[in-house]
Formats: sequence, structure tokens, C-alpha cells
Amino acid sequence: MDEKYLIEGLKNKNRVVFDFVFHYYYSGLCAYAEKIIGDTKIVEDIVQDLFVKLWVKNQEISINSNLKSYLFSAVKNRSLDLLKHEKIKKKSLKVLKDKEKSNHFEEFWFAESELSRIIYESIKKLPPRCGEIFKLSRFEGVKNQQIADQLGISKRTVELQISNALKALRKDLKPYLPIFLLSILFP
Amino acid sequence: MARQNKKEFNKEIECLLPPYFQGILPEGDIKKIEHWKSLSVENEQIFTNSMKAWEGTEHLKRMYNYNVAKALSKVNIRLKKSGKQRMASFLQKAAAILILPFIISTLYLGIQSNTDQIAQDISWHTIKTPVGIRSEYLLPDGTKVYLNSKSSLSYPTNFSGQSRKVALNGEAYFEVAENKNNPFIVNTGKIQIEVTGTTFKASNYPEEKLTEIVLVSGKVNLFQGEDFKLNESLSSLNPGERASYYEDENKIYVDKVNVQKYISWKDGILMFRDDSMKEIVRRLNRWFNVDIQLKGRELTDYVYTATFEDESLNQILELLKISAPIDYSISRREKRADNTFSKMEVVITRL
Repeated sequence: MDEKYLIEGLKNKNRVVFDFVFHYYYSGLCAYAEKIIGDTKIVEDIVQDLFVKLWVKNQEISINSNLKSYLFSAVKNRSLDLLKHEKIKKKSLKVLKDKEKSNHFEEFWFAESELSRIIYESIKKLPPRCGEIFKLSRFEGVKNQQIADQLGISKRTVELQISNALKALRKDLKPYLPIFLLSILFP
Repeated sequence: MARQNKKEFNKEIECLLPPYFQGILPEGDIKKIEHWKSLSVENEQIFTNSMKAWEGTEHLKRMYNYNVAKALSKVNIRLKKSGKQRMASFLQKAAAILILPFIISTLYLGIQSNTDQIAQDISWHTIKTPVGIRSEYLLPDGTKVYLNSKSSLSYPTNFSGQSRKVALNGEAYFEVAENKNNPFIVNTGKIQIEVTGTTFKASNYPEEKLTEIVLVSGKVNLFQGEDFKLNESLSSLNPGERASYYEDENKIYVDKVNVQKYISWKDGILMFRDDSMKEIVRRLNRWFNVDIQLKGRELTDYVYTATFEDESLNQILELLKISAPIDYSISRREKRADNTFSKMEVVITRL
């Protein structure tokens, strides 16, 4: 992705470029910070602060080549700083150390449109029923029993379909989500 | 036989994985998974990859919880407070609308009988905008009209009198001068709009077989036929509402919309809010007077949110390219026999 145009635009305070970058990355950056911090409350402040700084200090900021890695690293550092601060209060330094040691957070460097494209393209390949059930369950939070009632099938079939979908997804998503630690998943 | 059993067993375990990741699997079944995992490296791998995929969907769900538009408006407020930088830049880029001189009301004066006021043949002025150009006019009664590209507006020469009737082809934004006694009536062909003093936009691009009215402030009544008093109102709108009349169905739908999106063109701003690729192409075609074609049906799935002020078509296409797996090619304009040029053609393809 050639981001020169975007980076130039940000440096020149081009409002269109700023809005575009904001729309493109905002939710991805928030979800990423949420992943690190494990809390949703301060996440939006962190990301919004970053964008305000990006605009106000446009001249001082040096984005060498990759805007995406600049934004995600900045959010990562801010999030870890915040955790450090918190952890001193809570004295559970071990988890933090694990987190700091790992660079595996990079696995979550996704803009919403990027991740949803990968996932939906995989879901699209499923048999329509199967995809529909998976979407209802995962993204619309419908309980298995409700899905079964709604579609007039057994709960067991619903469970089977969801696991079939997951099976297909795990094969398709493999190249995108290569490595990350269990400790991050279940902190 | 043993192979078959193994396959069955794997299938059973895979069925347990989703509830396991959801954290709703009973203790006994969790032990089953642990045991299965320890049986082979292959199983371990399946488990890890499944978990990644599950976490991928979880991560996407996390993103869905954030409201980008709300966040951006918060940031905008902070930026305005933090200094005038953003405002200055905004002014620099102030809309480049081409303002044509106000039409002098005697310009196209038709033949008018001096004495016979009963004459039924009303002569009309017509103001027109060429493709790709937007302009602003002041009507004799003080009503301000912004005409979008490729549109025309006609009004009778005796406009300032009892009736304030205009006929619209294309798209316009009206700031109607208030006059309770003489309602202002816009004839869009299929639908008539009656107002006293209000701001709204109306459009009826014939090739789309759709008439659209979006009300910014005040109130409008929609009706069909010649005379409002004789016809029952089809619908009336409140501020923030849009009426869409589909010719094919002969029906009016009213819904609430983001008004700004529909009227920003008058300030030279091209605004997309969760709009489909198809809609974007439709508006870019009109805006830049080009002919963009979409190749590949899946392209229509992408939704965009963006605001463009003075970007060129090339810059906009570059931005679209960055945010979706598309590419585009532009064909040269060709000189026709009569020395005019063909429209620029752009083809957007899926990668």
C-alpha cells in the first residue's frame, strides 16, 4: 500500500486525508488498545489523543514509511504506558512483563475493513445456511437455541454448523493470524 | 477402523471448540479437549488455529462497538479549541463553487402581451448549469437557488406576482424567501412541492426515475397534479426527512437522513456516509462529468465514508484504491468529428 499520499496529506493538514485516515483506522486502533489494556473505558481517549496530536503537531511528527505501523505502534506504546501506571497501583507486574516482552500484538494490526474482508470472504465460501448461522451466532449474538427455533432445525445442527464454519475459517485465517500467545488471549 | 474412529473423535471435539472459546463448556468436556490436545502435535495445531480464527471474529466484534462518526466529531471539537490551525486550513480549501452572475430577469424575455394579462401563454426564463459545474442564483422574489451540475430551472417571467412557480430538472437546493400569501411551488415533473419559506433540496434526474426531496428546515407539502388546492397532499416533510418517489412504483417513501450529506454539494463538498460503491460512482459521474464503470459484481459490497472538498478525481480514486482491493484505469478522451471531446472513461476493477 502506497501511503505517501496520506502521509503528505497529514503533514500538510489536509482535512480530507485526516478524516479518511480517522475513518479507516479508528475502530481498529480502539479494538487493538482494548486488546492490550483489557478494558474499554480509556481506549477511545487514547486513540483520540493520538489523532489530536497528529493534527496539532503535524510538523514534528516523522512517519518514515508506514502510516499503519506508526499508528498501531503509537497506540501500543500509549496503552503499555497506561498499564505500567496502573500496575504500579495494582502490583501485578508479571502480566505486564509478559505483555511487554511479546511483540505478538502485531497480529492485531488490522483496520476494520481489512479484518472484515478476510473474515467475510471466508464466510462467503461456506454453504449459505452455514454462513448465516455463523453470522447470527458470532456477530449478532443470537443464542444457539434461538437460532434453532428461528430456522426450524435442532440445536445440535446449529452447533455442528458453527463448528464447520470455524473449521473453514481456521484454514483461511491461518496466514493472517500467525502467532500469538495464549497469555494474551486469557490474561 | 481405528482411522474412522479418530475422524469421528476429531469431529466431536471440533464441535466442542466454539462453546469452549465462549467459556460455556462444562468442566467434563473441557477435560476432553485437554486430553485430545495432548494426543498429537496435529491436534494441538488444530486447536491453536481454531482459537486464532475465533479470536479474529472476536476482534472484529470489538471494532464494531466503536462509533467512528461520533468520535470524529469529538476530535473536531478538540481541534477547534486547540487552535485555529484546522479552521485556517478549512478556509484555504474553501469550496470552489463557480458562481455565475445572477441572471438578469429580462435576459430571456419572451414575447409578452402588454395589455392582455389574461394571456395563458406564459413565457419562461430558464437557467441552466453545464455538466460538472454548480452555480448559485437569486430569483426575483429573493429566493436563493443552488443548481447542481447538469440541471435546469425554469420560472415564468411574471414570477414575482401571485404565483411563485418554478420547474426543476436535475438537482437544486432552495432557500425560499418567506411569503405566506404566495406559496412557492416547485414542479419536479412527477411531484410538486409547495412551501412558504424554508430550505430544502430536490432532485429528479430522469435517468434514475427517482425524485428526491430532503428538507433542511421549515415544512413542505408534496402533491401531484396542477393545483395544490385541488389535490390532496401526498405527504408532508419535517426537517431532517427525505421523501423518495419512485416512478416505477408510483410510491413515496419518507425516512430520516443525514441532511448534510444531501446538501453539501452546494458548498462544493462531496460527502459519502456509508454509501455503496454504486452510489459513489453515480455521484462521481455527475460531479466530474465522467463515465465510471464497475467491473466485478462484488465491488458493490464495499461501503465508504469520506468527505472530499477540492480533491481531483484522480486523488479520490487513489483514496478508494487504498481502502479496497480495487484498481482503476482511465482511458483518454477522444476527439469526435465535430471537435467535441468524448467523456473521460474510468474502469474500476476488483483485484
